[in-house]
Amino acid sequence: MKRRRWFQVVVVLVAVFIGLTMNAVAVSVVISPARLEVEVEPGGSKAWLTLFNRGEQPVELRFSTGMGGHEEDGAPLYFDDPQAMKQSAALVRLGSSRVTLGPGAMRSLSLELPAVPGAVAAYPVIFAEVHPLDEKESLPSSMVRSVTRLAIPLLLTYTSTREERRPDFVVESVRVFPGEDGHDFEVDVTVRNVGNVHDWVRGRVRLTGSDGDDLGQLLLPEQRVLPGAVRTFRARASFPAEPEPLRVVAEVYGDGWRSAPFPYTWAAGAELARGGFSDGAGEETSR
Amino acid sequence: MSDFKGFAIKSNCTRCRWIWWSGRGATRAWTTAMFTLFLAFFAVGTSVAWAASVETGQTTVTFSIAEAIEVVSWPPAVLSLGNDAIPGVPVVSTILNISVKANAPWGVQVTSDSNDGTLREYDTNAREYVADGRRVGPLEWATNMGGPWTPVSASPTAIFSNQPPTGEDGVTRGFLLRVTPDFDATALPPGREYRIVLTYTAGVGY
Repeated sequence: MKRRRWFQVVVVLVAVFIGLTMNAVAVSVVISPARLEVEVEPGGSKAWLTLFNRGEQPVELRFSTGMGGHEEDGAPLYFDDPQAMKQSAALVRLGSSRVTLGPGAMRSLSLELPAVPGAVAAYPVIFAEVHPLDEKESLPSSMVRSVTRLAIPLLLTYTSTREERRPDFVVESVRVFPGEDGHDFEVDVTVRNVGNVHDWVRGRVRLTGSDGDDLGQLLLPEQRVLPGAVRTFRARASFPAEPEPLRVVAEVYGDGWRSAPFPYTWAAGAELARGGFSDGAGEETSR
Repeated sequence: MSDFKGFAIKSNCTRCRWIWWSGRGATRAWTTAMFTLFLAFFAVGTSVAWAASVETGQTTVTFSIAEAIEVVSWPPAVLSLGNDAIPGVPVVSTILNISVKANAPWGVQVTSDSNDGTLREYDTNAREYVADGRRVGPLEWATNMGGPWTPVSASPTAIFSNQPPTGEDGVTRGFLLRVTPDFDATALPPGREYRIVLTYTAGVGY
């Protein structure tokens, strides 16, 4: 029975491979800028996207809007559910919902960014669905249909509420991952933006050994964190000998602000018992 | 005639304009024009030479590049995963490629028009899903045959994230789709099919 089942699997797979006669769609469309950061004036602002068809067949771009965010690792998330679409409609108005581009054609799409009373920052997204003009609308037995689109995230701040911008970041947790040879460590610092505006976040991790000797510091890579979002910063350290315990103090900072330091102590024995990593969340900090 | 007073030989002559343009008048005008031209060249040449002798020309060229992203190719708009699938036997697509050029970190996410990632019964004549129709799936994706396999859903899921800038050559990333029908999934009558719409969104990060 087992051999017969495998035979069936192979037959189906081969049939699928042979049956897949559809080639990948090759249409080249460039949209620039791929991300827009605008401070909206009290009377509203305007912006433009440049659309360029680098392909050899005409395409139609269909535009819509939604909202954006990012995951803990920084991966962007784009939302186009009805609520997100409704929310974004008040933040950005498109000059056109459809644009046709011939081969080699370049056009601009105007964006109107109205002033939103009381808004400090907003993060709408513009979606551009790419449809070759010769695309068939209906094909029998097409189980899976694909729509490909480009997302252009917008980072909007408002001049009228400039004084109300409050970048506020806290270190939520620190994790230490020991390397295989006991000398390398990876330090993850998780930061939450509890403010009301995005900002570039930098940071450092100070390391001290068991006897209080200074083992140096790690600089965290600069990354942007949106309000309400969490982002993890990772740095790697290497020591000539295994420091135990390893004391870590993490802090993040930006232009004109600095978070409270987040102290954490890592001990190898305890961590190995917990599966090889330590979680600093919940430790008492100096705040 | 007042325009020609300075040049006319005989100012009281009603034909002096003609005289000025011909004969002796023309010679004088030609001389005057040449002299003026010479003065102009001399002035320009002198000023250029003076400028060259006292300062160095400098041009500051500024250039900035906007972040841009280009999807060069992507999976086919319609894809059939086979017409005679057997319950319990996974049906796996070939590798579906998406090629991107970007000068900033980028990623691709996928969402489906089905909340739970199942393929739903679709009426091809009415062009709509059948209310309370039959379902099969969910449809799953993976970046290689060994998995892990993740069901698609209406919530955005990153297939590729934090990809570095590609350079001019661009980058092609592949993934697979899989559906495993069971005995709850029955064959559909003509004019009906199981369908799902996947939306791939490529973009740069924040």
